[in-house]
Amino acid sequence: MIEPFLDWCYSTPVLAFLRDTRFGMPISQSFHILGITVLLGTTVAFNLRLTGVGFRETSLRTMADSLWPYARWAVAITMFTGLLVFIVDPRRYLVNGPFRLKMLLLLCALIYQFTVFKRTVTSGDGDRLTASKRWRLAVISLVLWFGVGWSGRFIGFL
Amino acid sequence: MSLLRWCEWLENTAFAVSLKESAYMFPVVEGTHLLGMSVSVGLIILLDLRLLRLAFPTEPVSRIMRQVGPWMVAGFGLVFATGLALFAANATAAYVNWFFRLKLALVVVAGLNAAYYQVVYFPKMAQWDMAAQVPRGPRVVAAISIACWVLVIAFGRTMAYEL
Repeated sequence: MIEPFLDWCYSTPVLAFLRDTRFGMPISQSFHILGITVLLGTTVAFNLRLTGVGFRETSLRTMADSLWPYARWAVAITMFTGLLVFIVDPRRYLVNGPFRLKMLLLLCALIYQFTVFKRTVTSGDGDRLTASKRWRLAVISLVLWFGVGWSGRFIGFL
Repeated sequence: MSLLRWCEWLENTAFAVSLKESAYMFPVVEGTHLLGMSVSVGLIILLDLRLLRLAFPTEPVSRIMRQVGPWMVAGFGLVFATGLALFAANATAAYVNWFFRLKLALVVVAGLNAAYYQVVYFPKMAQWDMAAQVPRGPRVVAAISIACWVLVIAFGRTMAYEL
């Protein structure tokens, strides 16, 4: 069942158009990176605040009110454009080590982002946690999201 | 010496050659350039969004600026340093690449735009610092900033397909 689907992905006209035209992939990739920039930007800001290394003058609650919607949109745009890049040539990616690692880390990052991390930043509870707990939450968030980014960067090289 | 000649020289320096031929250093430098963008461009966009009242409406602009500032500057330092190294490794191909030229021009526009804010609006910030709604001038600067950086990212990604 998977084989016919992979063939279909490669040969269906809309996807072939996206893959083979000069700007199909560059435009998809540009939005992908724009999404990454915003998502990681908000992640860096949240974690600077969470650890107390930066953004000390703004409450976590205020940051979440403003930045969480952007983080959510950035996740949606990045994943949609990532899917476009994947689906035009799935065989290339499925056998790629860094891609597999990226998907595993992405799954962990998404679960973490929308459960523990979301609860911590949007409820404002993060401000009341002990320093060691806040650091742990921030390190996990940064390692997961930057891990996704780094493994993605190696897809084309390994 | 013409610019192209200079690019040829740069590309053949020991540093550029070793970076280009290194299986790991090149992706590491490229990855640092890309992910460093979240700290530079990602954070400057937060400040622009505040100026446009699309984020932190209850926070004074100066407070957001002060908190974003040092991280953003460090981020831009990282992105410029790695960008320069990446350019060196592919100098001649990048030099003739129109997407690279547009990208560079937009980085200059974004820099001048930020300098204009510092010179013209920064001294007057106290007048509207607490207001949710910022005057038109600084809002235009913020919109230009976002537009420039979005296009810098798009042209930067596109140029790699044409190298």
